[in-house]
Amino acid sequence: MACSILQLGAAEDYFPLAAVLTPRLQPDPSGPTINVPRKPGPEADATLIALARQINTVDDSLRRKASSGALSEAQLGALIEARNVAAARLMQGRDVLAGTSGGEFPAGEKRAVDNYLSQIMKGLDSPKGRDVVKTNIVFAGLTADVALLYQSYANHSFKSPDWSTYTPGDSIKVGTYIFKVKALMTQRECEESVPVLAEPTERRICGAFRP
Amino acid sequence: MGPTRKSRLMAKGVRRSVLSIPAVLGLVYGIAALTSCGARSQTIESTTTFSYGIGNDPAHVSSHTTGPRGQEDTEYRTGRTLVESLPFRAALIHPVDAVFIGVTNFLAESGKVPTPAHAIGASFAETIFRQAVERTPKDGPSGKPGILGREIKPSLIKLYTDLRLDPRDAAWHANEVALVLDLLEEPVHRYSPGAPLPADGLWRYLGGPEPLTKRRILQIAKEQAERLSRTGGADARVAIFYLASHGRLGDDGNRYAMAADSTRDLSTWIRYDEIADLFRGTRDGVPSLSALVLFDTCLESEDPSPTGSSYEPPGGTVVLSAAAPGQYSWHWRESTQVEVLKDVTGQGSLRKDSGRFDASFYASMSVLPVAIATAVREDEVNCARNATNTIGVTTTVNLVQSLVKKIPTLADSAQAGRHQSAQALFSETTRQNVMAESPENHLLFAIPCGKLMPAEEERLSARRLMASSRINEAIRAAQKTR
Repeated sequence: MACSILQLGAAEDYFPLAAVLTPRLQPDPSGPTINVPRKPGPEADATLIALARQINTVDDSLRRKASSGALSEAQLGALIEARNVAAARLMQGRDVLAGTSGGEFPAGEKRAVDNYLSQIMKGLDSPKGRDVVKTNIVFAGLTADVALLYQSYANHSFKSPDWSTYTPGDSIKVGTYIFKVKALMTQRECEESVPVLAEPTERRICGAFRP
Repeated sequence: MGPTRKSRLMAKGVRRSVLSIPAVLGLVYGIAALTSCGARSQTIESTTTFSYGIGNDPAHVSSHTTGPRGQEDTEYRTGRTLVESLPFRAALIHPVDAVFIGVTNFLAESGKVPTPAHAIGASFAETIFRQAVERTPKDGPSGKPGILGREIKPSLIKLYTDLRLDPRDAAWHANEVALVLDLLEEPVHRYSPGAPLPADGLWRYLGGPEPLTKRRILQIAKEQAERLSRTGGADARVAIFYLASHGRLGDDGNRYAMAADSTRDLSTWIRYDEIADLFRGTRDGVPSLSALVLFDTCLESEDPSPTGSSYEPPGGTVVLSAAAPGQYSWHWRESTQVEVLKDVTGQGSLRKDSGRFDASFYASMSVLPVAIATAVREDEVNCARNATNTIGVTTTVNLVQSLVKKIPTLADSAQAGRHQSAQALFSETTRQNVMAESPENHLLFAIPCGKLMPAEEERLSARRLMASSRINEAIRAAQKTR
C-alpha cells in the first residue's frame, strides 16, 4: 500500500518516526502518517478525528521511548508494527467514511483501532526486555472442536502458508499476529489479528464465527 | 395450459426471499422489427475516466493552450468523463412518473456526515430520463412527446435535492462538485452556470434549500402514489421512485434510509417498506412491473452475519437496493480530469515532466445512477452493431436485470476489499405476471441502431431517426404480428 496521508495539517505536524529511530527500527513504510484533519466534510467525523489524535499521542510516546532507550529493539519494533496496523485500520475506516453512503466511521474499524491503541499503551508501559510474553488467546465460540493456529502479521501480508499451532498459555515473541480458528469438522476458518505487546495478552477471538 | 415443469421449478425455488432478477426473469424478448439490446458484458471499465466510452480515441480529450510561447506555456487537457458518456440515443417510450431524491444534509446529532454524492446521483439519474424525453418522438396528443398517442410529460420527472454549493464551505469541495455537475446538462446548469462558483459566497442550490425531512420524503412518495392511482389503462405510467441517502440495516432486520431530520433513533428514519407500500393498490389494472422503487443507500449492520427481514413488495413493484443487507453502498468517484502542464524551461516545448502536473477534480456520486447510465449506454453500443434501420429496446425488466448486475462492478468495493451486491425484491405474483405478459408492456427506452458516429453527427442522426416515428411503426408492426 502506498503511503497515504490523512488530510495533512500543517507540515510541521508531521514528524516521521523514522527520524528518531535507528535504521533497523524504521517503521514499515506502508504505515500512513496520521494528521488530525482540519478540513470539514467526511474527514471531520468526530470518531475519525478522535482516533487520529490518539495515534498522534501514541506516536509521541513512541518517540520518547525510542530516544530514552526505555524499551528493547524488539519491543519498539513490535509497537511500531502495531501502530502501523492501527493506522491502516484507521485509513480503511476513513475510506468507508469518504467513499460510501455509510455516513460515519465504521464500528468494526473503531473497535479494531481502539483495541490496538489500548494494547500499545500497555506495551509502552512494559518493562524493558520483556520480548517474550505469556498469552491466552481463546476461541470465543461455544464449539471446542477447533484448532488454533497463528503466524506473524508480516508473513500473513505475504500470504505465507506457514502456520504454527497455538495452545492457550503459550509464550510468544512480541509482535502482531494473525490467529486462525479452524473448525475440524467443517474446515471453515476465521482469522483475527491480535497485537501481542505486553504480558499477559488475553483475547477471545472470532466471537461471531459459526464453525 | 398449465405451467411448464421449468416454470414450476423456478417458482418453487424463488417463492420467498430476496431474489436476483437475472436468475428468475430470464425472459427472451423477441419482437418482430425490434432488436433486443439485452446482451451485455458483465464487467465494464470502472475506474479510469479516460477509458470509458466508445473506443478510447484522442477525440475524447480536449485541450487548449494558454500563455505566450517562450515564457510560460500552460496546457489544460480535460479528460472525457463518465457524465459525458450519458446515453445519447435512447428515447423514453413509456410514460413515467419519476421522482429522484438525493439527501445531502443531516442533523449533527445523527453523527452522519453530509455528502454531496446523494444529490449528484439523484441529479444524474434525473438527467438521464429528462434527456431521454427530449428524444421521444412527438407522437403524443397535440404533437407533444409521446408514443402511440400517449403523452410523456417531462413535468412528471421531478428532482428533489438539498445540495447547497457554497465556495466558502470546504465541506462540499464546492468548486470541484460544480465542475462535475457542469458536465451534466439540464437541470444542473440552472444552478451552476459552467464556471467556478463565485467567491463572494453566493450559494447555489441544486434542488432547493428546503430540508428533505422524513415527513417531506414520505409526502413526495405519497403524492406520487396518488397521482398513479388516478391513472391507468391507456394512461398507465411506470412509477420510478429513487432515493439516495445514508442507510442501514436495523437490528430488527428492516432496511432504513435516512432523512434530513433523522437522528440516531431508527424510528426517525424511513423504512424501505414505508415507501414501497405506498404503491400498494395503486397499480390495479396496470401491467405488472409498473413501479420501480430504487434505494441507493447503504445497508450496513454491526451484525457480522446480517440477513435482513423478509419483505414482499406490493404487486407490480420491484424494490431495488444498491447494497445487500450488511453491505456498504460504495460511491462512484466522478472525475473531471484536468492535466495542467507548464513549460518552465522557457523553450516553448511542453513536456509533462518539465513542469507542474496537476490533475483530477473529483466528486463522488451514488453508484446506482451510474449503473442506469451504463446499462442504457451499453444497449446503445450493442444496438450500434445492428442495421441502421432497426430500433432496439430496453425494457423495465432489462433495466432491473442490468442494475443488479452492474452495481457491484461499478462500486469501489472491490478496491476496498469489501463486497457489494445489489438486490431486487419482488413478489412471486409480480414475477409470474411479468413472465406471462407481453414484453411490449415493459418497453421503457427505444434506441435507434446503426453505426456510431462522431458525437455531434450521432446526436443529429439519432434525433432524425427518432423524429421519423419509425419507433411507432416498429411497435405497431410488432403488435400486428402477435
